[in-house]
Amino acid sequence: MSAAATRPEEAPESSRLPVLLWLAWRFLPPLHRQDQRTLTWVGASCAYLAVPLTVGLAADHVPGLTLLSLLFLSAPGLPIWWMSAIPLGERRRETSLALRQARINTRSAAATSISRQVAYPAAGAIAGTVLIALLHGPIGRALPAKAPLAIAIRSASGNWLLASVASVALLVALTAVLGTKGSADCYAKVRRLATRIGRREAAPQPQ
Amino acid sequence: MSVPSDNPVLNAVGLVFPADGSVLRGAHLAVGEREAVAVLGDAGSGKSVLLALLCGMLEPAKGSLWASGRPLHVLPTDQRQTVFRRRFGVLPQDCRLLPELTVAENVALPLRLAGMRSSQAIGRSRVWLERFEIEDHASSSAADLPKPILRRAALARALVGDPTVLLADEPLADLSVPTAESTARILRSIAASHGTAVVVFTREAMTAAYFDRTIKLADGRTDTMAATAPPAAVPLLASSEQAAEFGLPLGRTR
Repeated sequence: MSAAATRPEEAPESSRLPVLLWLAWRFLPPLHRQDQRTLTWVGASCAYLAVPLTVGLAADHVPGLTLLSLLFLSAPGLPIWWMSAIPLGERRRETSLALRQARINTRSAAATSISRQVAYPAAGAIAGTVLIALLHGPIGRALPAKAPLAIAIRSASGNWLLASVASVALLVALTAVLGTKGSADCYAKVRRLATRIGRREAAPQPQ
Repeated sequence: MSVPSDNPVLNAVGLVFPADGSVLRGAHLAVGEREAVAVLGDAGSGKSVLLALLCGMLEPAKGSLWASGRPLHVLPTDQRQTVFRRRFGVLPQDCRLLPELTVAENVALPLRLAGMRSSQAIGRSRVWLERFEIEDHASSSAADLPKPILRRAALARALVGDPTVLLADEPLADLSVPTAESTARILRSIAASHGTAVVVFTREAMTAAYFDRTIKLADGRTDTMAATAPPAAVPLLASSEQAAEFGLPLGRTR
């Protein structure tokens, strides 16, 4: 076979779709340890956050105090979520750049490289929403009557399916936002600030 | 140093970037079919910007760009990008392969996107890997490759679509002297056998010496040896009015 074969022509967008889907599929399995860590932390934090979020979305006429309590319940998951969404965003940008170097146009490269960024948080969020959608009855009964989660579950309108779908979509979209370069820069600033404050507190105080 | 081609495959005339000319202030470049040319310039001389302008990643503030007598600077953006994708092979300095794929799959990707069947595309990619003497790595994951192999695989990927122009930024960087010599020889032989115009951007005079002709780039200008008139058959369009006369819309925005 000669290398000097005929020059291939540009294929229409529709015939490129199977190749782009195949690529998107190939990006899903974690490639190295860093990917595995990202999958674990993004998945776990999204699963955790999906519980109060789904309850909040399914409930109507929830008192403000209960909503605030749900927000506080989410708080422990937020830093891990933000921290793990950043490497996920970086991997997406790297993949998109490599795709563009392989002569894939910017739009297709962006659409193809996003598969990992959708799948990882979606896996966790689906696990969390399925858990709460199936077990909200027993959980509501098991918790003390005045517990905010129990109050929110009792006031749920019953549209758990809609709330679950909305919750997964919201978590996937927000993970993508947290993975942007702007978010990474903001995270770095927050860390620097926290380190500075930590150092100041650790410094010996004058007697 | 040989005389530049009279009938260039790639012809850049008076490229200015940005509008104040602080990076490029009138770069000329004419490369003919079967020619392997080096653009030599120090760090900060505007090589990477010139490459980005030539492959359509950046838009010049002034000047014109012709590919095989076709005025790319007056084409609408989407048409121009299609020409760049089909006719230009590019090796960026920071070349990347997809670590999720094997080397052969990476090289075959442009062909698969062009609609070629997987087995056929892989077969053709192996021919190019053989040409660059890295066929043993065809089935290896691109994640495990050392940089010199990765660079040659990226060169194979840039050439697998049989482009009319290859633009390569420091293609011999990270290569040992014997490998650099052999890669330069392969690039020259590809220019001769495929009719591809090869343009190598480098800051190493030694690298430039491997190629047929050297164009010096300093302070945003190319040396006078590189400057040629645009092809006589297709007149240079100086204004939008002239473009309209040819029935060509102006596509200056990206």
